[in-house]
Amino acid sequence: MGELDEALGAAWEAGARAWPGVDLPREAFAAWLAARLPPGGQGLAALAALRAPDLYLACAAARGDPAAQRALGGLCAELLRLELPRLGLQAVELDDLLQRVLDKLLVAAPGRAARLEQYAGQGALRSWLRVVARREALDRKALVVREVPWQEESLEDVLGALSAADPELEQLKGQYRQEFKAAFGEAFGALDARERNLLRHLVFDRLSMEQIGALYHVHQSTVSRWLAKVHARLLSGTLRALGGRLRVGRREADSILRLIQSRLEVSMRRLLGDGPTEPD
Amino acid sequence: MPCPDENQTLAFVEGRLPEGQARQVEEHLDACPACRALVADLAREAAPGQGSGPADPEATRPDLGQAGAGPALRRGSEVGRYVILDLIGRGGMGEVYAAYDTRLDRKVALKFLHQTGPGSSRRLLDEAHAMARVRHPNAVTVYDVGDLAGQVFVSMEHVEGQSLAAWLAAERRTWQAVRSVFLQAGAGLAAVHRAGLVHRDFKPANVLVAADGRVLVTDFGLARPALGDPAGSGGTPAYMAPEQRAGGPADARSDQFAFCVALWEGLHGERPLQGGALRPPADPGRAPAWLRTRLLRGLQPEPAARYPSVDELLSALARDPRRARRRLAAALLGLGLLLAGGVGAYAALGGRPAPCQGAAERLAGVWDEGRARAVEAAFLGSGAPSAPQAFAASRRVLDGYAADWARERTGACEATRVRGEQSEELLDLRMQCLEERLTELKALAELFLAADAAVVERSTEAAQSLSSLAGCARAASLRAQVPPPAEPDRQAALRSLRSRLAAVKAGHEAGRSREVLAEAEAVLTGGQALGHPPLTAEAGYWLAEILARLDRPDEARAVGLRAAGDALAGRHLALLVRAFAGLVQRAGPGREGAAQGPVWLELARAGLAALGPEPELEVLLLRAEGQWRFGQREYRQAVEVLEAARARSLEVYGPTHLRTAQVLVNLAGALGQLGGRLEREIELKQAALAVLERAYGRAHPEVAGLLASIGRAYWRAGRAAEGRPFLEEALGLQERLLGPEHTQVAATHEALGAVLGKLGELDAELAHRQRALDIRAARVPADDASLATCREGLGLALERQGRHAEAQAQFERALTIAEKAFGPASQEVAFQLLHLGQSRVLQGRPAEALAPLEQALALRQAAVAAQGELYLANPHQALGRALLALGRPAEALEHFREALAIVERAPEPPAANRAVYLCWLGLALLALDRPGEALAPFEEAVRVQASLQAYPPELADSRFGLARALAASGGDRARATELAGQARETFARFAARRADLLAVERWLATAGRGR
Repeated sequence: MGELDEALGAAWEAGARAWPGVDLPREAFAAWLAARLPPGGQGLAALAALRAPDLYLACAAARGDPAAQRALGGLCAELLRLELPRLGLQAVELDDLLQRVLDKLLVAAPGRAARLEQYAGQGALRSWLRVVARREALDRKALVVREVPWQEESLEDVLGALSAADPELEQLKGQYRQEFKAAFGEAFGALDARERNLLRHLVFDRLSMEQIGALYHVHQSTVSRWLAKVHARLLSGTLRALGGRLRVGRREADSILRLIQSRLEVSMRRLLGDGPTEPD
Repeated sequence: MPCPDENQTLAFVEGRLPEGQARQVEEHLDACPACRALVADLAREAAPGQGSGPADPEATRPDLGQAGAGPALRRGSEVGRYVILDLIGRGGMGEVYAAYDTRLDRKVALKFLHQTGPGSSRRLLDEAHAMARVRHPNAVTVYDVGDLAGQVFVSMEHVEGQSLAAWLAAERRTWQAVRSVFLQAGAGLAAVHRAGLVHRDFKPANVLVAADGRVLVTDFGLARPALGDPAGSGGTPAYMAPEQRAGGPADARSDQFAFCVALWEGLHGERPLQGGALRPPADPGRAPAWLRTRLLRGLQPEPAARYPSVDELLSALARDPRRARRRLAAALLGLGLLLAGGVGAYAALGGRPAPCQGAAERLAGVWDEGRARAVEAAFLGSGAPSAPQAFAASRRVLDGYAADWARERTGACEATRVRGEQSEELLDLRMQCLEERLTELKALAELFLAADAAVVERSTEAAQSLSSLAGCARAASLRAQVPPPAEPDRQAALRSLRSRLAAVKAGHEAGRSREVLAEAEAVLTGGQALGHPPLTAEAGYWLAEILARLDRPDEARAVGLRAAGDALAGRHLALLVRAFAGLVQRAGPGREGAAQGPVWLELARAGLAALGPEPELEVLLLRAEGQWRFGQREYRQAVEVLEAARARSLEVYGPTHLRTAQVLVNLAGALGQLGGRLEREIELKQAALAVLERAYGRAHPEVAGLLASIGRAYWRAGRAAEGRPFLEEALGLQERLLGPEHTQVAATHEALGAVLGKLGELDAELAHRQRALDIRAARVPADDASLATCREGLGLALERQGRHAEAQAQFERALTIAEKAFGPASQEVAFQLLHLGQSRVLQGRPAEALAPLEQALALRQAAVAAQGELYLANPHQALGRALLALGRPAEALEHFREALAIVERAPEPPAANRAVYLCWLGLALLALDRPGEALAPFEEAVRVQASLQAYPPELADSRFGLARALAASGGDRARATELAGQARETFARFAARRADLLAVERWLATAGRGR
């Protein structure tokens, strides 16, 4: 118990150093921390994994310390500002939005605790708040988060992103639009969830290989291997599906396929920019 | 599945979800674009290098001042030659993107720097250039610096890995592991200091631990006080030294303090100071006490109490008192090499595979500690006076080259084998190129092992002439070259020829051109038989260089042209540029050079343009052009070109490289010819002298040559007395080092003669001049161009002795030579015409002087654009004197006025000449019977000449003139008599002024009786 006590003290000191203007009694923080430790004997190890300064701020704000609430407000305002352009919201809506987020974070409602109490201290507070802010902004936009089947949103966009880089592919796509779209959709649908997400992260979210690697906790060379595999599957799937659909003579079909293959190849490479390819 | 909650989302991004739950989230993301976008944003924020371990207060605190939202540059956008890949960091100093350098075919980190105020971009650029000079295995390499759309950017090595902060946080490390990483970071920091920079913000977040185990310092020299930063220091408070915290200037010792804070923290998991007071660590057992004791010295609040340098701190930290002292020697010797090798050792320690090891092994026996010791012994045994300095300087260069080589090799390998950014084919080409460089290094080390005094004298130059390693990373140029033969026996033959060529090159650069000539020819013949044009081109190029050094210019030209042809056939563009640059440089002063120079220059430029950015070649070509224009006497253009060469050389090589010194010398020479910028000229030459002395000490022929040229510069500016000691020292050194019959000795004799003449020591002058002519005449044909100026000088000396007929004979011979060698409209001819005219005036034949003087003036006027107008002053003065002697004072007055106006418009008016012109202006006014107006010019002339210690008869002319003006205008008679008396004394000492002596005496006799 002595060791744990000492560690709690150290965590409190770390918090106090990080937030000099924030007032939080040591005992209150210790209780807050203790409530977030798993039951059982590994208290000390679990404590080491927690983000003490972040929890310190959350605890103080939840307890009503004005300096902590100001800091929290500043952080939320900054995160919300990042959301505005994405959702097409106006700057004047920021204050209102901020108020709603802070209410949600700090005020308990009948039947549920203040949201801030749910912050477990395992990830960065900033990231945690970002999730809250995004959700709130989406609610505001009345974009109810709903599940959609992938076909509705992504196919056109993936295809668009691929062909925007290449006028020739664009032309081909126009010529055999229906066939191409169906074939590509078939191939895309045959991928598994992770493969589709990888491609979307790359195409829509514009994450780098490193960032995708960080997300899946693998080295970027692994990501690059995955993507190469996705690329190959997508390409062969599209061609196979297209071959069955094109109502043209065999020779013409062959030449169209060859053309599509080479163009799609180029587009994918361009998209996978920093993949294991080498521009000449 | 519904959308995951905040904690779950975060746990997914941070990899804390169990596999089954993570799969569920993935399934959800496949169907929920909003959540997927959110996850992507979080992943972006947690980009590598940001440090994700236990929270650092500085890192957690929200950066509310940062207004920017998403990345300013989108993926795929092109910025100059770079394609943006990702935003990888954002901080007080600016944004960092991963980018692809399309020209050099590699991934780079591109940092855009925030400007801190108006006019700051120039300073940022300067500092970025300084950063680019830091070359060390433990410092992130800066590739390029520039200005894009008004924003300063730095492109640098893209390092895969994590920050030291993250590395420390990832797991608890042993103190040995922590120290090992910090020793490497410290070596990088020391290199930053050696480049004259201060990091200002050293902390674990600014040190990268690469995926392959390398440790690199980054962001050096960039931190600066941000606007509104209360501490006003730009650093990170927790690591800041007290003096920096107080807003004082940060220096290397402030960095040392930060380093010690960081290492202490790395060892103990907590910082050493709280509220300025030292706090003993909670768990002192994590590191040995002796290590803490040594860190404490670096943590002293008073900078003077810390270690004198980071190097000394590092050796203190590396010295484990509990172990045998053997490690110390290893830690201190060949630091660069050791670190390059240490990469592999460290990688093993970190438990990562290192597929690209082996660079250090390849250097064993080529350039290692044993070799260095043997070379040192050879240098010291050569008896060369400059041996100790030469060894130290050469060793610095070779150690650096070896370390760079190891790094380039590892980097080239990793680009393919570890990062997969590069094809096997390109890896092969780069490795071949690096093997060739290693052959060069080996050849040079072997030459050094057998060094004699002559080799020692040029050792640093030879070391600095090793081919650039950067060239081995230039994909386009490597690919362009005709590939080596595929047959194993021909490959072996090629390797053998290459290694022989490397020995030839090393020998030539080390001054053994004569000895390696035959071997150079043999290699060329062998190359032709093998039929591999890139090699033939290189062999031809070096043969041409050797022939040129041996004073065989015609053969050098023919061989050089052939080499350029082979370079084209072998698609070896870098060599094409070199070959043409060599031809330009040696195109010579004559008419032939004027015709051929521009053609070769154009071809060299075209080659350079085809090659893309090759900074070393740019410097080479600019310098060659400058030298050629200098030879053509186009001094203004030469100065422009050489200024550009200087700026580029400073960027590429830095201020202490011999190549930069060479450019400084060329530039100073051109400025000297242009005239009127003496201070700058001398400053440049002194800077070059310092570089040379650092490399070789004082007893070196090039040092002597530079001393002589400083002496000449003073003489040209009319400050003969200041120039004399330089020339005397130079002559002594040159006679000792080069032998008394050397042409450089002749040139110094000439210059010293001229100085002595100016100082009135006419017999000594004549002796030096005659000696110079004797030395030269014994070596060259009678109509050689170099004899023109030599005879000219002798003529001037004779003239001062009053031996006018002999003087005129020398001028006439000089004129004949000049007309033939330089062409009848050349500036050389103008010089001789001017002297001839003046000689005729002095011999009392002013009417015959008018024609040559008018012709001289016309020739100079035609060349004003190239030379500047200062050259017009003397012809005006000479014409004035002729006209005055002809009894046409009004016309003479106009010429004197023009001469004066010209010198007074010069940026640094040549005071001595101006005084002489003032004197003649006064004399013309006296002749026009306007003595009152003559007073002021005479007074000024006397004042200036007395203060300058001018040529005494010239001062006497002014004094006598002032005496007459005073007397004629009813001024102070006693003073007039005194001045005339002083003039009489002076004239009496100069035989040539006998007529003037008589005139003063006559005047004194008349004046004595009153008028």
